[in-house]
Amino acid sequence: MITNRAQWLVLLGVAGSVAGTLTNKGLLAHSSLAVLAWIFLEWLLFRWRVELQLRHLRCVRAVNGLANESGTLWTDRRVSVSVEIISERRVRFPFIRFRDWQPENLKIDPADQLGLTEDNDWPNEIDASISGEASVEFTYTARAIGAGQLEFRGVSVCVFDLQGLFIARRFIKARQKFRVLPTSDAVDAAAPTVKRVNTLPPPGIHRLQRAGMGSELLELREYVPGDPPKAIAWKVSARRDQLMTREYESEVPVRTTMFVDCSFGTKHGEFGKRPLDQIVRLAGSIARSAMSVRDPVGLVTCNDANAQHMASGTGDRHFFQILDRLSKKSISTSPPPVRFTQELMDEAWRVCEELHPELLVPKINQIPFTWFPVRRSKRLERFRRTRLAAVLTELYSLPADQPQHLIFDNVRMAEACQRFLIDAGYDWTWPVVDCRGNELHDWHGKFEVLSEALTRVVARSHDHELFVLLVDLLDHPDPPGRLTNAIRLARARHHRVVAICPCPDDCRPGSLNTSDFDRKRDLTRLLSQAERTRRISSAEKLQRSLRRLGVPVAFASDGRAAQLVLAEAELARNGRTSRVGSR
Amino acid sequence: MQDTTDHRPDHNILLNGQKQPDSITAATVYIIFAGFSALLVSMCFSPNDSIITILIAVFLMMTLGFRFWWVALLLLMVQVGLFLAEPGSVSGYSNSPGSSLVSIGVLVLLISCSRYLTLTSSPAPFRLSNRLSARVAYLHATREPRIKFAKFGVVSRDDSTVGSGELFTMLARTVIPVVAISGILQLVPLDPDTPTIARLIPPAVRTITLGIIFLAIYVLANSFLNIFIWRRHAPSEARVFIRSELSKWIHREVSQVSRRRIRLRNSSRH
Repeated sequence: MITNRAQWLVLLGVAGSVAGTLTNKGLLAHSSLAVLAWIFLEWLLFRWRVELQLRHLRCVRAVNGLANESGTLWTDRRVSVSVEIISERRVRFPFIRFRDWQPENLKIDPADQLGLTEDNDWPNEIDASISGEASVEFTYTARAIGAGQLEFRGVSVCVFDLQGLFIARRFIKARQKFRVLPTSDAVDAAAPTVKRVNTLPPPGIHRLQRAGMGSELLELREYVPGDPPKAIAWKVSARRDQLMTREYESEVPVRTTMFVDCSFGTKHGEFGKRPLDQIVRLAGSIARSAMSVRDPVGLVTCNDANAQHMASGTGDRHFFQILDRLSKKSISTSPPPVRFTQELMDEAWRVCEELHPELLVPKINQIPFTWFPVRRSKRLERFRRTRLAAVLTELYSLPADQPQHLIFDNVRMAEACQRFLIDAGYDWTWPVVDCRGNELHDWHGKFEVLSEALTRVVARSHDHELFVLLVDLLDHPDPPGRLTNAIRLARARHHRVVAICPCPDDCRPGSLNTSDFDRKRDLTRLLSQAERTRRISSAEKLQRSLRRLGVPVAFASDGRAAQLVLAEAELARNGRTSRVGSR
Repeated sequence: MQDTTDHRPDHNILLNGQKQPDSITAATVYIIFAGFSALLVSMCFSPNDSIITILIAVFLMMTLGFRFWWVALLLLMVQVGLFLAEPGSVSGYSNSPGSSLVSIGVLVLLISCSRYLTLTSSPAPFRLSNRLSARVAYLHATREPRIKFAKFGVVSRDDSTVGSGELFTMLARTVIPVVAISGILQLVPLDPDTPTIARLIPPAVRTITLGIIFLAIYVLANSFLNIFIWRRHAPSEARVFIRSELSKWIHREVSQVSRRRIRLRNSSRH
């Protein structure tokens, strides 16, 4: 509560008073004592304001103009947040700072703010001076960066006195929880979706104006290798002296089933750049594009233990149901326990200071006196841990002897810190989950679940269908591993299978170009380059092994991944075996 | 590869204005330096030495150069000046208008400087554990005044340390402590027999009496506030307080039990 400045002024005041009285220098004693009395007066006033007046402040937040406790947001779309601090009684704070708690899933870009001409590095913060019952309001713009859930917790308040002698922090709760749906991009299909001009009359009445295996003629076009021989229009070919192919209308829409990998390994990393975020974004785009041409879309979400099926369907309602399922699957897996590290402890302490500052006040949260550890830094660390243990015990209603256990038991403390950080919205970022490389993927469980789900869907399928595997296979040592048999079964039934892999850094693993490498031999850069090289090699290996099975591969970061899926749907629709000039 | 980069925005840490246990502000470093220098001056040189004037001039230049820490340094300079210039006299304790005016002047200067620094400073603490942080602290001392308060705040202060409506409170801030201290100094009892009984010189008795009076006032005020505040605590705060009080008494026993359990668990794993 007391700042360094005040501490030093008190020290100088005491020293001056003692020196003045001991040496009979009245003026020195008078001035020094006046300084002490002034600091005492300021302390009295400050404490009165913080302890008795701060409780009368209330926060009202409106997100996109609505102050509801829950709602729906979309990733990467602008969200307008307006925060109003209302005082219920007359209060006086000459210098107070409000900062809206920023969830990890929310990105606030200073350059993205509407209506602000000045540079403001912290748009979600305001310095104010409150007198009477006046309210304070500030507005900022943000974007949700990952699908799942977003929770606004409240406003962090920092009270200063104008002389900088004292400081106090509190937190005004104002909870609002939002479901975040993935934004789906509109994908241009490779084939035109409107009926082209018929070369032969008469025009019929077409239910679906696309080429397919129906009985109604859609158009005649030049023969391309891979067209079925029975589709060749022999008379027209003879007349034109070149092979022509009849294209019929599509009568059976192609059912697309997406297999989305929601296992723990896809949820590691920064919000918006997690493998799962890439998968979910792409799944939304594929579903939207397929439904726009009236193809039914089904969804199978798999984690390391089980799979959940959603029957295929069309229409806006079904599309939103798919997005909702994807959004829920982005949040619902609990991570494995982590090791206790100093970083975990620091992070938990920092978040606790922000969210529960009133429970860390030394008067409330007292520490038993001890001489040990002898080193001051270690002792301070122990004090912090003791205070944090008391707060965690209170928050999770643990038994009364738990604080002491949490102080000495690293395993329990790590679990409690992890739980606390996840509850605070820090779901998947280091150090809440252990670092990459500690075998995040349970390949055995994942492949078992995926194979079973794929086989089950193949067994139930009737027509030529399209199966989209949105699975993280890049780190697997021998892709596609145990999925091979299931993929072969699907291919043997003439279904189309597409595999789409996310990339850890949301960057397409292209060809290796040594000129891109930085010449500076910094350790971090060298590691980054080595990781990139490994990823490129893994991607090439994955593409080779899946091509052998007749499965095209794309990467989620590649803008053409959704187009590849639509092209495969087109192939399944018209019954051809391959696209011209590709593959 | 181990991806251990923290992608979280770091402004949460930077905005943490609360005092960190292992971090100190740049001003503290300068104040410590100035304090030691002044102490050296007071101890090593006689009052009439001309070098004191030079050193005080150097202090003044430093004050003007690094405005960040001039609050404490200003007080220190005033104190050193009074200590060196004022002749010793017992009558200094009398409530003379001259001493009150000097005290008011000192307080006005301190309040103005503190306010200016508060309104122009960044609340970011510096970790002076390495050379880079120390350099950042040094560079921060010469930064531009903070203008966000004026531009984005509800009340525009226009960089003025004392707003137009704050003149009255400023007056109260300076006059009340000076008058109170004058009163206390006049009321400090000095029984002629006390120095003999306590085997102390009269100024020491006076100092001890003053200290006791101040301590009593602080304890009384603190207790008064605590009584008011205690009833307004939230249930969670009360529970944390009770639990921490309890653990203060039994923490040794519970820690031993806890350690033994951990030792047993580890040994059973191996």
